[in-house]
Amino acid sequence: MSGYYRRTHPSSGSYRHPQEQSQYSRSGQYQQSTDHPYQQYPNQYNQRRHHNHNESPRRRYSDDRPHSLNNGNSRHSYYGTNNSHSDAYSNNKPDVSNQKGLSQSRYSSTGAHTPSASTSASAQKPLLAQSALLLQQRPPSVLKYNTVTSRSKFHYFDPIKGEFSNKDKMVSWKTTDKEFSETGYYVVKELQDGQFKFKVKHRHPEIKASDPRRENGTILNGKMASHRKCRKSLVLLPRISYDRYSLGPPPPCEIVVYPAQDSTTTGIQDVSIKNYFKKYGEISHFEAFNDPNSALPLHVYLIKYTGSDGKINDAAKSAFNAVRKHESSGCFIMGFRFEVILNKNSILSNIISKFVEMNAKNLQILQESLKKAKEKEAEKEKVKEAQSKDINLPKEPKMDTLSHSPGHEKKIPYDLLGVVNNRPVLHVSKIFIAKHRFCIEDFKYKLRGYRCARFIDHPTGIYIVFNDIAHAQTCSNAESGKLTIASRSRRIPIQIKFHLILPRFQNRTRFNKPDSSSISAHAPVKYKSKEEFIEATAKQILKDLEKALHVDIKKRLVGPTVFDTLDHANFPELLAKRELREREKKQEIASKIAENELKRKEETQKDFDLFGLYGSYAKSNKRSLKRRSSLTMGHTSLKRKKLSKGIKPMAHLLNEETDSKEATPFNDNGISNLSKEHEEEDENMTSSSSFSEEEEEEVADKKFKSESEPTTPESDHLQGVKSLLSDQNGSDFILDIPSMYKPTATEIPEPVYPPEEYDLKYSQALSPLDLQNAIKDEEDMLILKQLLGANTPNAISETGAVLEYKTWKSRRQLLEEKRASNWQIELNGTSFDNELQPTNSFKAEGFRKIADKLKVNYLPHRRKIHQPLNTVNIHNEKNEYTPELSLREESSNKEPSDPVPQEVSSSRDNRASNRRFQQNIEAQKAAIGTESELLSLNQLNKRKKPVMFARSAIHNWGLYALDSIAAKEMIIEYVGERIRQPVAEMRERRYLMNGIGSSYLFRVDESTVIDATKKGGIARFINHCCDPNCTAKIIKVGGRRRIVIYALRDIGANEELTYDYKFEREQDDEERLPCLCGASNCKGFLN
Amino acid sequence: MVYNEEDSKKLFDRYKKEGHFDKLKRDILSSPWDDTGEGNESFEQMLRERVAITVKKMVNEDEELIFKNRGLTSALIESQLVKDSYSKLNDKNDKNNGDDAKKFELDAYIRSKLQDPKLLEMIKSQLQETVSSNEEEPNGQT
Repeated sequence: MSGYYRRTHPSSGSYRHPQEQSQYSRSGQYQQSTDHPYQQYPNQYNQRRHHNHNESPRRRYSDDRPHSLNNGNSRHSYYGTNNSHSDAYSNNKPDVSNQKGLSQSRYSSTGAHTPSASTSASAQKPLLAQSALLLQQRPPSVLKYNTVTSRSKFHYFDPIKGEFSNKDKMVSWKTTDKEFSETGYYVVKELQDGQFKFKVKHRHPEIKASDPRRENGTILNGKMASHRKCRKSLVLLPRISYDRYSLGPPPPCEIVVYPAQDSTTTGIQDVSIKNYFKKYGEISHFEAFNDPNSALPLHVYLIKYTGSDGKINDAAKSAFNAVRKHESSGCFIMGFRFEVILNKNSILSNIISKFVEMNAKNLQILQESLKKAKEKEAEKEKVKEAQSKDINLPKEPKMDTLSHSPGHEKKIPYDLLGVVNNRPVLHVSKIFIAKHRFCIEDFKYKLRGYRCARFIDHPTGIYIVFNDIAHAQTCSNAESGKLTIASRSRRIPIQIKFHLILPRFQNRTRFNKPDSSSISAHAPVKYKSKEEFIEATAKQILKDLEKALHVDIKKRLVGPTVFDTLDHANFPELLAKRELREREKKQEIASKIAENELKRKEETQKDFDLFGLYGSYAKSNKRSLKRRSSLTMGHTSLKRKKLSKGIKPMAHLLNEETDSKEATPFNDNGISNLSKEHEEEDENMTSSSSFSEEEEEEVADKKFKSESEPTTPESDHLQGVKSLLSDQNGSDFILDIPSMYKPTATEIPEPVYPPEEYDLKYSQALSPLDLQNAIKDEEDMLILKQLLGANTPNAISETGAVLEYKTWKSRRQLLEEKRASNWQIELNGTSFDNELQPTNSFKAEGFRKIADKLKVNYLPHRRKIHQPLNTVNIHNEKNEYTPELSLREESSNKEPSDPVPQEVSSSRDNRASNRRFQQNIEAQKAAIGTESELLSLNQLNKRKKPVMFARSAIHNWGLYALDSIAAKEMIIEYVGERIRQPVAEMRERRYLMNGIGSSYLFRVDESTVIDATKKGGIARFINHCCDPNCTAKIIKVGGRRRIVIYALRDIGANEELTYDYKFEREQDDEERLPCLCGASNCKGFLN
Repeated sequence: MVYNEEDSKKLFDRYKKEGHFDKLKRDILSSPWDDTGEGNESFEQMLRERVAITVKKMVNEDEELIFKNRGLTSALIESQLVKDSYSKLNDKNDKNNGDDAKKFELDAYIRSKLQDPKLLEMIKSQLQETVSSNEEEPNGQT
């Protein structure tokens, strides 16, 4: 309410100025009726535009406001201009009848004009409506002037009278004050002393304003001096969005779509229009208008946009976009052109009425033309009937007149006249075809049922030529306007109208078939009589004969003759000439080659000399001869290449020319040179000691040299060697010498006979037997006689039976001793120790301790552990009781002859075969289906080596290898009961109590021990040794830890297997177990 | 009886099959070159000679002809000789007219031979025969 009051008493009283009021009322803009929404919007729109365009006057107006009382005149003029503009924009008739609306519209328009003037900025728009209501309901407001406050307020103005209280005293300033300019002033910012200062200047309204940019010459020759764009017209300000504070009607959000004048709209569907305009925004209302007269669609559409959530700005925007998009070029929908315009004022109704009128007019014209056509038709028919012509035109032309401009007759283009050849033609215009993008094939397919002669695609359209008029007419009747082909641009079937173009001339000329006529003329040639027939045939024969003759002459006579005459034999002189020339050429080439070769020879000679200089270097370098020679060869060949730039390679020349023999001497020379070089080097070689190193190469060299001349000293040397060899071979005395006396190649001379026992043992006295054995041949006997002086007779002084007996006795004793020691060795492996030899009788010696070492001499199981005794009984073995030595000998003899197959097959192969075997077993197990212990076997079982337990030299029982075992091979698994640690401890105690001294407990890890005491494999018999040949490893098989014994080194057959028990060290001396292994590095204790 | 073109063709084929055509050809080619008497050389021999002479001349002009590919060269030369109704052969004769006073006009000769009325008569009679023989055994013609 307060707002309302405030506006009824505007703070600036300028609106109440009577003069101004008249001004306002004069403008139709402010007094327009708000009855019709369409009428109001455009006005508002225009008004805004107008203001935007004329910004400067408006600004000036607002600037002038404080002085409004003083210079009312100037203000009037501005208003005047404004109003005139607005009048020009709005062609509405002023409606002054509604007085109540006057004030309302006035306020709103003031708001539009000067928004700053309106003090009540808030809630303007809703109040407008409210005030309108209030004005109708309440009595007109009365100004109570008599109050004190109002009187103090209006001390200069009488609101009741509506005039200034001191009006009589008021004088125009123009008449009184001459010091001020009549036209007024304006303020200009000017640069002065480097500072901008405001200056007041006189206005000169009579001088026409001009573009300052032009004055300053910024626009020169159409080019701008500054970079700013020159605006030749005023630019629209951005659209001010319509909100609740905005005054005036909301922006238009409706568009009118109507067909452009030059396009004919047929068969366009409303939906397509709607769909087309959907892209600009959400359509809230779509209306198509029909002709009220004919109820036919006018194709005028009203489309109302709506924004999301009913936002009017969005709707207006989409409408504006839709219009602007089609402003310039119009809108093409389905090939039809439409105009799009914003719906304001009564545009819609105007358009509709326009179209309705037009349709009415068209209808009238059509009706008239129809009448005329009918009349014409009737006349024509009359004429035709009168003339009784064969061509009977049906209603076809009528259709043409109906659909298209009447009386327009299509003509066949000039260039098609020949092709069409005065035949009836159906025509479809090119524009139509192009619009729908039809092609000739469409027509061919659609009209395949008719007897069309030809389809012609011509720039003016498609012409369908018929041979017969009747066909053309039937086709036209049946299809024109009915035939539909799917348009490629619009994707709907389009009816096609054909124009029948009838032939002009009755007599057709056949331009295009001259050949056929001649053929037809020729075809029925007939011979009336036999003579004629024969004559014709004869002529034909003559013709053919001529042809055949010519062919014969060419192929059979001329061709072969030419070929024959071209033979070389026919031109001996030419050949001779050529030969001569060729020979000359060859000679030239040969001479050239010779020259080059000479040059090259010189070069090579130089090269060789050079190499001769470096001969000593080559010696010391110990480079292979062959390589060197090849190197030098390569060098020379390189040189050759360099030399023979324009000449062919030698090999080619040799192949090519047979008479150019000049080259060969060079070759000989070259080779001799090379061989000379080789001699030198060979000499060097012989002097050097590295003869054997380069044997192969030398052989190659010799081969190479054998080709060369044999006059060189090198070959002499060789020959000498050969002769020497032959001499050796020739003398046979070497072969006669027995092999034992043959000279040997040892450094120190060796004796012919192997040394005897007494030769090695100097200490021993020589027995007569030894002496006898020592004499081995005559030479020895001779030497012995010389030494002993056998020839002297006094040597046989003490002869007789005694000597003979002594000799016999000593010999026998010796033999017996030998036999005894042999037995001892056979039995115990060692000779009997002298310490054990009783000096006296055993009884006399009494008790004494015999060292363990000595016990070996007579105790078999104390024998050296690494030379195992054969306590193992193998039944199949033949020599069961044969002494070990002989057995060993046998084995040593056997081994080289037939190697053991087991050794050949590697452990790898063995394992692989084992795996296969196991798989086989497992398959069988699966087949059986029952878990049997028999078949349960593991890899370790299979890989077990052949071992046997027997009495051991170390302790009780031991395990022995039956075959030799390679190092790192698995031997056997330590099998036993798997027990936990506490159980093991308990058992250990029980075993001790039961008197089982030997411990067969093997610890796998902290919690598990394998006990082989009661149940277990033979691996438990393996003894401890401080120098073991095996080792125990704990490995995982199938997730379980197992103990496996591996060979540490190569183990011979019958060797006892031992491993380090690795017992924990015991501090208590009483609990320590003595070690009996007898190894050299024995620690003495197991733990 | 009425005969048409096809019949004539058939007759021609028959005529050829009977060997008359080849014989005619051979006769023309082997007939003596000079009808007037002296020249005992047959047309064929004459032609061969001419050709040989021409080719030799050509070779003398350009030696390289011998040493090139013989087949190719001969084909080229042959085409050269044959073209323009054997003008080259005739020309050569003109230049070489020291030996042969008469012109060797191959084309003219053939024409004259063909236009000989005797020949026509002969052909006609032969045709007659073939026709009559043909009519005797109509089964052969179907």
